[in-house]
Amino acid sequence: MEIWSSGLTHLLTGLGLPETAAVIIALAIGAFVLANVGPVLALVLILLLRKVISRMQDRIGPNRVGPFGLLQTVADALKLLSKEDIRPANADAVAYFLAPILSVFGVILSLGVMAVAPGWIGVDLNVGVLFLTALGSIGIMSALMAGWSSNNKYALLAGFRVVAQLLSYEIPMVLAMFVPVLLVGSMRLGALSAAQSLTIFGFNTGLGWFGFLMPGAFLIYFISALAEGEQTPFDLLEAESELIAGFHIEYSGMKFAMFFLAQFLNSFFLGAIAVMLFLGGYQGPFVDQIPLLGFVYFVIKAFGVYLLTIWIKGTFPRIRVDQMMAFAWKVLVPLVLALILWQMIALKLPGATLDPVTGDVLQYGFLNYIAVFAGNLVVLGVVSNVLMNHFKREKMRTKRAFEPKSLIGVMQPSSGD
Amino acid sequence: MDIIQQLFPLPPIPTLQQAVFIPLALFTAVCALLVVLSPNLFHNALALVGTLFGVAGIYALLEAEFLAISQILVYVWSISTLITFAIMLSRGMMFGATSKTNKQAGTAIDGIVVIGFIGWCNFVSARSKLDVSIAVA
Repeated sequence: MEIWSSGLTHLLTGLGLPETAAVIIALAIGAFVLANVGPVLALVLILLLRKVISRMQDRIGPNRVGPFGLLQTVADALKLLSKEDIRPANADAVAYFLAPILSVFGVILSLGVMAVAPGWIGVDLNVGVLFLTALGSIGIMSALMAGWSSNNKYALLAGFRVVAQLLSYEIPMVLAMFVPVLLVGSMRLGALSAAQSLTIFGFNTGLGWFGFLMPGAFLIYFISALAEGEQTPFDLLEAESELIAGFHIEYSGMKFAMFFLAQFLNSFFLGAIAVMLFLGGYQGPFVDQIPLLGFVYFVIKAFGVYLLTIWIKGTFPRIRVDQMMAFAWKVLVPLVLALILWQMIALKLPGATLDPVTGDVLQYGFLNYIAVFAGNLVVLGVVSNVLMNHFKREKMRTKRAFEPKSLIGVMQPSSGD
Repeated sequence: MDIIQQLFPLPPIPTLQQAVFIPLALFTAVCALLVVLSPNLFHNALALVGTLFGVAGIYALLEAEFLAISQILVYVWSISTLITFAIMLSRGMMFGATSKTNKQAGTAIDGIVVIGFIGWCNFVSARSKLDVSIAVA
């Protein structure tokens, strides 16, 4: 497959550069572009969040700086960058400086393996999915370092909380990511996106999304990704109205901005991973004819998932720590383990077309797909049932809490409010 | 002079792999030294993470991507988080300084002598083989 850097390399060798130097320069340009996409993207994401949340809360939102307030986040960023950089006297210098750098580093690295269009992928690693999961470790380490090095017990406690939450939800997230990997038989993100085509009468509609085939795995991934990106309803790490800021309480100025950037980019990239694994990646109608359309589809889908997280942020209340942990360990982990087990059985059912020489699976049969879909429907049903029961109980509890004791059971719900 | 050049043949320009390997190996080695030399226990844990990262980088340089990623997943992610938690949750160890030395200097000297002797033997035998080959040539 033609990769993105080959055109640039050809151009540079045409200018008379040696082959190695041309490759190095092309890769360096690619890395530079990717590293700068992150911060610029974050400006857009923050503005989008503020605008959409304001619309949901019946406010106008930022509208002063620039046309329609478009430059508001630029002004915010400049303000943060020009602030004084304060370091607590007893903070541990090395870890205190390294933590914000590492947090951004771990997030931006994931851009390198994103398959944004056919052939547009920084590195098509053969362990791409595993690479994305491994990057989470850097975020965890940076949170721990920030919490510890600030020399503040609240920051340290918040660091513990972050790590507990990230570790608990990383397990269902990673396992849910491996459900499509089992089907495709490859961890290459390019191959995973390519496998989600759906050819009908020789025309690639690009709608064979794994989200349709495996809705259960998608739901589990999405919930875990919300927790991983520290989004509502799992944003009790920062919980602006109740707690102090969390593990980055002692940070100010540019270092705080870096944590902020990392958090926004992380939640966006988790959505982009969901797009690559479950929502078809760059697949869509006419992608085979016009490859650039793939990039458009990818961006639209990724921003769609991001808007969904904003919608959830504007809608749901925060949940408690024990509820969060119980949901991860008692609901998501057993379900996703059962789902993977079922997937393995379903893919071994008869009906698949095998390669006569190697015995590899060329094409799964109807029976396999039906079995996978049925298993996912069961998981989807169980998860939504658990959630519905929870919401029903909560509704009952709040109603009890706000009614006078003597009237419980007597008072009928009034029609007025 | 000829013998030294034959023993350690250096190419005039390092290849790309060497150019990446040398800083990576230095990083790994310095981090590994910090693990034992740094007085602060938390710094030791961080240096251990750095060492494991460096080893993962060397795996990646050897084109063993799966091994590299597994190294990061298993060691950097799980085991070092466990170690860091254990250090942080043990009272009084977080901010205090630990002693850099213990009472094992004699053992260390014994070890250095033995390893040095083995290394010297290797060096001598390698040189004698080289002498033989030069003589044959």
